[in-house]
Amino acid sequence: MSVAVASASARHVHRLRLFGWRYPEWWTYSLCLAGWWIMAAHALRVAHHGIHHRMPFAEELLHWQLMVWAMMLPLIARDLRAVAFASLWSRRHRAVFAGLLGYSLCWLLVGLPIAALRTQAFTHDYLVPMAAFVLAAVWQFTPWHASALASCHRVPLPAAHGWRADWDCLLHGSRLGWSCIVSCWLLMIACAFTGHAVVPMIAGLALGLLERHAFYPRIRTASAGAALLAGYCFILSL
Amino acid sequence: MARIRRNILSLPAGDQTLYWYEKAVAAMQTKPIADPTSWRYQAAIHEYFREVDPLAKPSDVLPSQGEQDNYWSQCQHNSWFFLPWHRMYLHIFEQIVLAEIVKLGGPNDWALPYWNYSASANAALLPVAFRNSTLLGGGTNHLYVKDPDRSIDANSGLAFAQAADTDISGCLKTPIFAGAGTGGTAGFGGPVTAFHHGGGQFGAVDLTPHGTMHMAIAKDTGWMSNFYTAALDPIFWIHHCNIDRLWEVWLKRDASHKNPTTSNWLTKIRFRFRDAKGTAIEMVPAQVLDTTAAPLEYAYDDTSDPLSIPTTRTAGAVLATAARRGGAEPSIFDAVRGGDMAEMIGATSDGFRLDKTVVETPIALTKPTGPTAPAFEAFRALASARVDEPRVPPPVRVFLHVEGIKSKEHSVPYDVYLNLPPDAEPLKYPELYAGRLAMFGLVEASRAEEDKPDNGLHYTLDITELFNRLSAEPGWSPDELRVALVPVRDDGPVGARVGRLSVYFE
Repeated sequence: MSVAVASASARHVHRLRLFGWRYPEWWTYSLCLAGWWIMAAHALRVAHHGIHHRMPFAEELLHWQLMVWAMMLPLIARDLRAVAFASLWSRRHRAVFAGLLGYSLCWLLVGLPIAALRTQAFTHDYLVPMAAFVLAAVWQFTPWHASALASCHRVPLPAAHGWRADWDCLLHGSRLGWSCIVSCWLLMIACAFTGHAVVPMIAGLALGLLERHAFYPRIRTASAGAALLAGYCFILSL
Repeated sequence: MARIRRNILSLPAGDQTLYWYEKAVAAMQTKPIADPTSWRYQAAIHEYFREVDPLAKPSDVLPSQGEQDNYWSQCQHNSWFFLPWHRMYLHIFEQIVLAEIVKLGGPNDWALPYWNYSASANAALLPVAFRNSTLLGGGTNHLYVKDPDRSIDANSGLAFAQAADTDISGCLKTPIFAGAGTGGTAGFGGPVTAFHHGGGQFGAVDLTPHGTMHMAIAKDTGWMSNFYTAALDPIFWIHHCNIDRLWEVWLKRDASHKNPTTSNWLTKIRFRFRDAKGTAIEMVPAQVLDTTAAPLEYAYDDTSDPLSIPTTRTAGAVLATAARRGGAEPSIFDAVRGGDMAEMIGATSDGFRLDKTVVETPIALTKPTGPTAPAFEAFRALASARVDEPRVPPPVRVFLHVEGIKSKEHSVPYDVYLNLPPDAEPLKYPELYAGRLAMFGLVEASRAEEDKPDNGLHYTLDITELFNRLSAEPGWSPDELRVALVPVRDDGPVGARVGRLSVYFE
């Protein structure tokens, strides 16, 4: 065993180390996976009654935040990576954490009224997410959506040391969060009003990836996708 | 057979290349802006901004919004697509000019000339054919652009560009084509991006001589200083022809110099153009790598290496970087995405405004703790070695980043010096010169648009050799680097704001 196995294992450790160096934001994917895991487990538990399932406010808020992490973290991974590379090596994970904190707090603020609305019976109807998806499809064509989407790729310029470095990363994360909210708010609200159903969430993530990572900037496929999701909700409402 | 693109400064007596160019430009300038073969349509492909169009007339009928969205304002800067996109752009333009020349009874093997301004101080003077408003035999010279839309010195036949503007040693010594955009090299051609219409980090050739010559010809505010007016100046095309040639020179001067081989660069983005017949076409970088093959079919008369310094000095650092990454020699990954293992060792906390005088800012440097830590120790060892000992380049490359430069107005270029003595006259210390910030595209990069944020300009200067030399100076402190930004002229516009200065080891 020994020498060959030891050398193979050393090679794997080295590769893992290189991966950690190259992708310091790797651990944020665990939050994303946790979000998907809990959402999927919840969907299985309530079967197809997710939209009618009522939860207390705190639980709604928790589900909202998990949904944000599940759907948005893959979209901003490279921006969090940029925050890490713009920081001192010893502060890279701290920088990612501060950025993520600023980002999450912004979405949490939006989640407060949404969670409150979700505790009301009238929102538990497929016509509500359908309307939100229709509005999301229209929103894609507005200049506010376009400029917010462009702002999602703002470059971080944090200080190197001290509280200023943490504050700058937090601030950058919150700016990123605000841009994402302006760009994707209707899509996210629509997904929340489906009872955090997995199918619209997966489709929403796909649309987000499409509009942010498309090599050509003027693709409006996301709008057509949102319209399709509205149709999906309409069929379910029948 | 491939047509030959020749140096504009060594065209033989009686050669008619420029005669026909002038005739074709005149013909193109008479066409309406909506015609894809018109002069103004061709310039608008680079960028169009109606509010500042110097040739705008109330009678203009612009193409439809769809046409503008698809074919105008497409130029690629601060991106690894800078070189291939401009090669496509030049090709389409050359085809249109050639068609006009043939229509006027000229030769059907006409090719754009290039302007090798780096050959000598005389070569950097504006070519004679562009200087006068009238032709020798009388009549309007359509290659002329009046002052102040071009540098007065340029039109007068005086020296207008400095050695720092025409210096090609920095870009030709850059060992890899593309940078990863994570703090290390920006590469010869620029950082890896998606479709990228300007703003952000400059590749080495995009900065110097491309950007610096744009700004020298424009003298800060002329047509050549903006994306949206640059291609209205007939010298634009001759200048870019030289940039295109430098890509060939870079590839040929060292066997390790390679183009990216990933499909993300080669085929992923299909750039839209209208050809000489006005037909819509799409092109990908993979189609324009061999200039002698269709559709390009041209060759340069001179792609010899103008430098005597081999690339091995910097290549040595690349090899060391690759070794740190676990490979014996640079892999294709290194060639495509250099700089993904860069480590920041210091940055300023606050932004600052540039001025008419020297602005000096210190950067506190920190001992690296990541993959470049051993290299830093090598630097410390060098610093403590005797000055007369032979100095081996340390296995690391050092980059100074000037990030987030923004302004609503134009700016004069700035020179960067490191560790100037107090109250020193910068020009007396050429050995402390680190590079020039051209400021080309500053206003455009400072404006948020549908397809880009207002990130401003980002310059990456390879200061490895200077940093190495400074580390041998008596009194060198590894804890601080002082960066001085010096305006190139004292009569130009100033006031741009710098977001951050940072230093990276790679």
